[in-house]
Amino acid sequence: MSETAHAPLLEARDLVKRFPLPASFVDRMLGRVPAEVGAVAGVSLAIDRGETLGVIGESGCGKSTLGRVLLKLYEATSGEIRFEGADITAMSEAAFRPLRRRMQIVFQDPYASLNPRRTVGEIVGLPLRLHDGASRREAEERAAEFLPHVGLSSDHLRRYPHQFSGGQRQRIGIARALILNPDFVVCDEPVSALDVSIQAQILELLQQFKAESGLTYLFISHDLAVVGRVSRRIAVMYLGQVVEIGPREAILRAPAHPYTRALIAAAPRLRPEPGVERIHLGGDLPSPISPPPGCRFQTRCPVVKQICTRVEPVATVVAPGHHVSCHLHKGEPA
Amino acid sequence: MTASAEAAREPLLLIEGLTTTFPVRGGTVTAVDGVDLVVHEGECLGVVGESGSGKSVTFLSVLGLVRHPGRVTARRLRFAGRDLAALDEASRRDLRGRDIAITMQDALTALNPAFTVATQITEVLLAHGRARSRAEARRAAIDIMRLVGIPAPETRIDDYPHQFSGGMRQRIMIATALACRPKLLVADEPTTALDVTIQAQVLDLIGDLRRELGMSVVLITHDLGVVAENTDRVAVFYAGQVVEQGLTREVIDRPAHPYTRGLLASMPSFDDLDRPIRAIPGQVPDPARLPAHCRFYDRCAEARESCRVPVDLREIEPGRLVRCARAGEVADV
Repeated sequence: MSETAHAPLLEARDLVKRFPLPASFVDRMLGRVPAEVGAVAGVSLAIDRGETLGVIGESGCGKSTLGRVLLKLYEATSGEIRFEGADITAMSEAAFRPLRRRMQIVFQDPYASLNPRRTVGEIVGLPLRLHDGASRREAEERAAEFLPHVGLSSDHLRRYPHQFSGGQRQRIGIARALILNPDFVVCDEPVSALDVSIQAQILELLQQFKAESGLTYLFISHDLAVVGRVSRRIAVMYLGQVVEIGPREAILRAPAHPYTRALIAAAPRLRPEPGVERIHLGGDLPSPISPPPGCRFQTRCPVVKQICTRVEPVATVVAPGHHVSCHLHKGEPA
Repeated sequence: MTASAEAAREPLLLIEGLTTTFPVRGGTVTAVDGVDLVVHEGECLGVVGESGSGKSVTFLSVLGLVRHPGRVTARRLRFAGRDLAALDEASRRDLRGRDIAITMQDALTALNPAFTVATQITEVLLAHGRARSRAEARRAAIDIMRLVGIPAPETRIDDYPHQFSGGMRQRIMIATALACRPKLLVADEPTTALDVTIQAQVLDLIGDLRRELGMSVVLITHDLGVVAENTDRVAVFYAGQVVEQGLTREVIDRPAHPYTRGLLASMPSFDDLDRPIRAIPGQVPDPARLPAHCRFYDRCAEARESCRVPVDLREIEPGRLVRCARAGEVADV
């Protein structure tokens, strides 16, 4: 077997994405450097072929930005992204184009992510025209063939997005992402906008595609139970960083980071679990424009220590494949 | 509860045969269809259902907040022993905000961005005569902000809504609703827009305030986990009707309606990560073309030909109501 066969499908090292804030008139006059939001602040992770890596975290933690940077929809500020071992970080759009078709995304909002002026046939067929040079007719024919795979019918081809329910729209979005038979798909909160009974339908559909074609997913969600259901491993993000990553059982049953513990304790359960007590996190998420020095979680951490205010924790191995960035844990650096 | 005991102690809110319709091009949409519900003093009633099931419209109707051309009718609509239907607009307005308060899902749009928090909370107090002067209202507003856990309320009271985070904004809205110490708080998806750690804080806050102030709470949500952790009783809505009602614990442990069972089976389980999730096939019926028979018929795995009849909500056990022709027959599958 060649070297690359062992390499993960996708790998990120020290990935950083900063967005400049719009400079005020006074700032520009004074030649001040505009402030920046550090949406992704040094993320390293690897995703194996055929696995689903779940990413959980609260709004503003940078999970969506991470997904977009990995797909080169946003250009990384620094760090490295490798796809099948090849560095794609600085690849030109032209050189990246053959890979683009293999890396797709399903968006959260099935209302905002579909062009209301295009028919379903046009929406689902567009990737074929862009990447395969298919003609309008050919694209529509192949879209018609593909629709039954997402639980829609070829009768839907000439209809517009507004004629569909939320769940059906998400099926259209999935068809658009999967019609090119990609290897890697970022699912960015794909079921968050949907009702519970419909959520399950969409999760089933995504799982079915994975079973059939060995897809690799990065599954972003704020819902722990959903992420736990679909993922093999889970990464927990807080304020632009992965604070804990590991097998889902480790993350959900034996979380090592105080933030993960609080998240899990706060998730509403149908049957109260004995021994699980709510952990109250004081305050709100600090601003990503000026994160606190040391550990980023220190302002809300129930077990904060002196060292946390000064030294930024590094990822430490707590068990094989289970890494945590927290001063509570001593061990080998990951 | 037996019929005589119920008569002896009238519930705080009594809804009977509530129907709300909206005219649309070529017909009528029945958003709420013959809903019967009660809210007892001091209890927390969960109202759960998917979007468009009529759970919010039911309470907007009770509060008289459904605008023309929407039409609200009810057999009986009573609050604290008074007939709501008999009240004129002025008395209803007086009741609203003082005795019954509502918090909306999206605090950013429900609060007025052009006024400070001080203006918005004191307005409620002054309008309902709960404060005699602006100074007194301001003091009361600061107290209520402290009660809902806003740090440094003395200074933050002069901030505008956008200067607060999502969780804090939700607290401001709860503060506005609680300003007059209502007997009933209707919390419409109070935490849907919030992150899970903040959600837990806000729900705990509502629970604490309920116990402290002795008020009743109606918690409208789509999340059965939220219902399980925070409510005493629950009403499950489907397509404008209540399909199941009972003690929360019992409904979740022994759901009697196939829709409730379907909802529970479609939720990924935290306790058993590999338990297969079973989606409910199909979609909610079009509210403009509702079938005369059971509304869940087309999606129900347990449906029989005999289900093609109109079904009433009936009591299968004391306090336990189900709208299913086969309830009892299939209850323990």
